[in-house]
Amino acid sequence: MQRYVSSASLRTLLGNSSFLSILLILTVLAGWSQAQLPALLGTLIDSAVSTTVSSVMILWYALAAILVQILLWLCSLLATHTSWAGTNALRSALVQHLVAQPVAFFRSHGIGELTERLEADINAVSGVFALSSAQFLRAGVVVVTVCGIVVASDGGTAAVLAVYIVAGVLIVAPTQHTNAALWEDERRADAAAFDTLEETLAAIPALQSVQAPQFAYEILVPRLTSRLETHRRASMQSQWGAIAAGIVNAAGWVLAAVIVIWRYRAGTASVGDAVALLVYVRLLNGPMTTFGTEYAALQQALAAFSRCDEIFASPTIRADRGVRLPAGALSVQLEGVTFAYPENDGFSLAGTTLSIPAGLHVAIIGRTGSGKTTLGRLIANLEQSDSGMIRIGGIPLVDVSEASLRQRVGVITQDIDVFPATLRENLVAYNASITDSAIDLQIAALGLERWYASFSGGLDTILGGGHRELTPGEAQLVAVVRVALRQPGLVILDEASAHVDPHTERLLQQATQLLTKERTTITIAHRYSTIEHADVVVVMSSGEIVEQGTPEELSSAPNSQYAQLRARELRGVL
Amino acid sequence: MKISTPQFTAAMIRLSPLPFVSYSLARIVTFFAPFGVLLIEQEFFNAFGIPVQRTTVWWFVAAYAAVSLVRLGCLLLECWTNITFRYRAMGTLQLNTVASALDRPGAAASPVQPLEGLNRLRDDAGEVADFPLWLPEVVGTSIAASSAFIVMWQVDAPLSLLAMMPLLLQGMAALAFWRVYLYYRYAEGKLDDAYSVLIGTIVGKAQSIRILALQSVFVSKVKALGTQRRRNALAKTAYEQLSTSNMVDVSVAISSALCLWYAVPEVAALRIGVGDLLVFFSGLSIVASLPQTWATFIGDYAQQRVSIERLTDALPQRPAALITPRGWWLSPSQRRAQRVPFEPLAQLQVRGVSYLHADGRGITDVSLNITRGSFTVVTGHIGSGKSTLLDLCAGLLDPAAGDFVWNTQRCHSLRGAPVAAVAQLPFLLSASLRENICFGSNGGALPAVITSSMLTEDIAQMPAGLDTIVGPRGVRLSGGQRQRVALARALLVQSELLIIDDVSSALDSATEARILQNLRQHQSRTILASSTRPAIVEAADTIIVVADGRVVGTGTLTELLRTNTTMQELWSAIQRPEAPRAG
Repeated sequence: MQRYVSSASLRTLLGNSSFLSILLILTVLAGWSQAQLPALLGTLIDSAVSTTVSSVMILWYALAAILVQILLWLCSLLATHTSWAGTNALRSALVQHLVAQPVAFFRSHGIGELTERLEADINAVSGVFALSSAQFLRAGVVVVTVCGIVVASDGGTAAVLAVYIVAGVLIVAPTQHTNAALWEDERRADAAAFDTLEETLAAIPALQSVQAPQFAYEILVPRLTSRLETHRRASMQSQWGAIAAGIVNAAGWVLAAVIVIWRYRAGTASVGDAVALLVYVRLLNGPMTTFGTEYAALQQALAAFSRCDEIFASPTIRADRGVRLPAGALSVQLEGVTFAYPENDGFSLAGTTLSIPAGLHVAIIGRTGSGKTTLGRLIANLEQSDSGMIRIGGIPLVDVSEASLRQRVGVITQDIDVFPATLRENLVAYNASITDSAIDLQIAALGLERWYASFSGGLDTILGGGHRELTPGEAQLVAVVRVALRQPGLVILDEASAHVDPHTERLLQQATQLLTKERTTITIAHRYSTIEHADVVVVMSSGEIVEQGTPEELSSAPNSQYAQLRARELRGVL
Repeated sequence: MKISTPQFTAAMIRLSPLPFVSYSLARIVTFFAPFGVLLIEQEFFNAFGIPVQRTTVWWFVAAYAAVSLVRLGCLLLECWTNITFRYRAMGTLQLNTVASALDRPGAAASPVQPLEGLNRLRDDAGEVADFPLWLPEVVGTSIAASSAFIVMWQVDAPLSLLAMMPLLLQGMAALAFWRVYLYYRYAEGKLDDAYSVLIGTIVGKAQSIRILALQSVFVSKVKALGTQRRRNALAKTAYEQLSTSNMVDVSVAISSALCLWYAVPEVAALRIGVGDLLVFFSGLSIVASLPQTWATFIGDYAQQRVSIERLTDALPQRPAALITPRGWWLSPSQRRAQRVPFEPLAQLQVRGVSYLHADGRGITDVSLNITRGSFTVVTGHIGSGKSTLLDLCAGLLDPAAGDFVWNTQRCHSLRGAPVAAVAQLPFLLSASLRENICFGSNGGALPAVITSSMLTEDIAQMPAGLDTIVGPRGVRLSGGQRQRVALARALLVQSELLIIDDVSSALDSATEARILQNLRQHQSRTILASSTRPAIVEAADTIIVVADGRVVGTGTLTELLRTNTTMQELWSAIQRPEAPRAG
């Protein structure tokens, strides 16, 4: 239990659960009134036997019973509201945390897994959190009230009842101890199965391409089996709680029957008292079963909490110190920057130092795995360096406000994401303050009018999701306009060499040149032309900068890596 | 072709009959237990007022204990069988969806959007797997309720009819509320779908969201949808409670009050015992649960139809395939691809093949010849139909018109032919590098293909070597590494034809040249590739020029450069891609 006290998810949940106090008050009221009914019924039966019962009394009994149900109904509504208000806050907080993760985080967590966590896990919480806690509370109130009522009528019976309740809880509770871990396993197996299912469905063309359909079963079946087994194991374990509760309930009935007979013979109880006592014991069944079954649900929720906490525990990229970047082209300095991915799988930077004056065009080249993409990500603050210092416009990157950074530093990645929205929303990136005329001007300035004219619906054309699909080259064009609209002082461009046809390629090169004019530009280059027209070329190998200089300088040194790369690639690179 | 709910349900029961039957028996006993208790309590309280034998008391206690023990045993059995049944059924539905997708041409558009389909596979599969378990519920409640009514009738016929009145009214009201509840439950499904898609977008495009500073945009989308879901859940709960527990308890209370009012003179006259009176109180609860169970069942039956439809949407041709028994929980599935026997390739003729995608892209009436040991390169602008042509030859699409001749054997589609293809965008599983290359095969030739696809150096750099886990979709590898892994995978397969769709797009040209050299080492290897890279186009034995979905030229580079205008244009574009400097 200790670890749940410090749970970030639990705090978020409780902090946002409106009406929690009203819910608690109503729950206490409902539990208390529920416990009054059997006594009322006992009195009625005694009156019936002695024929002193009046219709009014019966009417009151019916009304009281209806009132209890209204209270219970209100409780469940409030509990639903509270649960949703709390879990919605938790969802938003988790999403907020997720979008602040470094890119590396998504290298070890799949879409299926994260979707499952944000859905099934939190649903497990929402079903249980307020509802179960309210039920627990009501169970407690019923127990206390019942004891109170019985004490008033007969101290001895109350004492026996109290011993019974304590013993009951002591029997039921231990059966639930080991459950949290089992449910955690179950949640994990469930997410893994779902993740694999998503992956397998996406892999189908790849599986067919190499005639390996059976591999789909080989990877999926073990996950399905483990999902079945972990769920069954956890449920069976939880079921022991219900069994224990059942045994306690049965014992309670027997106990009550013996007390009733004994007291009736002794003449200290009426038939009505006897009925009331048995109904009370039955009323206690509810709380006992609650301890047994809702406790299991609560355990599942706690397991889900700790899985949410795992996400919260994963550090976000940085705290924002709010310094704004200056206007104009931005310089970039790296001093002894080191970085390794958390998986430590060999992709890293070993103490990189580099200085780029404002307005310069730098091309970074190197073989795959040389660290050039990682370098770009570090400057774009998509990953954080382990040590060393990065300065943009003279300001340490750790001090720069996120908003200013994203406004002033434009990033174009290899694979461009197109959002399922209109062309306008994709170009302005949901920034409503950019007018249509500004977009038109920018498109014209980048020489893309003819391409733009191909969108039949203009800026309102919906992209993706079965509407207008963009080719990867067109997505690149969207990204160039997107970045240009922000008027950045630094452009980081991971050049996409893939799947662009010559026509789009020409448009893209032209637009890119117009975009980067008078702006500091760092290009992770794949094209020979980019390299040739760069002011400075940086050659990387195994996470280190091995050469840098103007293209002329580097190519004139006959034994340089640059010259070798160039000699081999001259003919092939577009 | 549709599949009816009863057929579907019966098929699911046949998937694991033993758990289903055991569950049903256990469940019916569980429903019957309160009735047993009712009989015991009736005798017990009727015995008040008359001298009770000490032994009789112990009989009551013993009977009660026996009923309780049986009930508890059933509880355990229920839990085990319920989960076994549901998870087996759910797994089977999910496996069969994968299986049917594997039976379809993989490059053709899927009938259902991927993220939505995934959501259906979880929620609807769960829903559908749960449904057969409602049958014992309905049977159990009905038997218990009729037995309780018979006992009440025996005690006092008019009273039992009187007590039923509020219950009847309640049953009718419950059904009305249930309708409204179903509306909100349906809306909930829609909202859940929207939420999945939103979360999928956020997780899938997380990097772009950061780059474009869209965090607050998406967080507020999540919040807005959350508010909508909360309101819907509130309405749903309100009507659900009204149609179930609350109304039941209210009507039981009213009926109990009616009983008391009617019974007072009877009890006083000793015509009705206190135990008999209790029979009414307990019996009413048992009977009152009947409309609720039936309402839930009827509602679920309707929901079931929707869920089955949503699941079979993904396999419109053969919906019945969704419930093919697999017994996957018994032993590792040994299914192997059923290979139509294809002879070693001497010549492949593609004859007048056409295929158009939904957005109008594709190829029309394309014919070509591929001979053993040749290196054929398809070239052309983007959108000219290169990939469609390659997908058809890889058996990833079925042509809408035209056919293939494999040596002398005519076939409509190349699905299942010994062809290995490397896609433009390679797909990697979140597994080890080794698994990603082997894809289930034993990997005997692994060292050789690693060398051929130029992965040796990369693997040497990784701490765990071939056992390095590549992350979701292979994100931990670079684009070029991913392409080479996909190439290695295709090389490992014993194929007669190797198809490579623009594989060198993310490779530097040194690597590209070496790979090309490695591939061409084997004289008998037949390769069909698409590319716009000069080095590859130059190396081709035959070049096929595609424009607007049609073949506009076939021949060697020299021939084509002399005669074909499209090729001349393309060649100059790919040789000198330099755009005129602006300004």
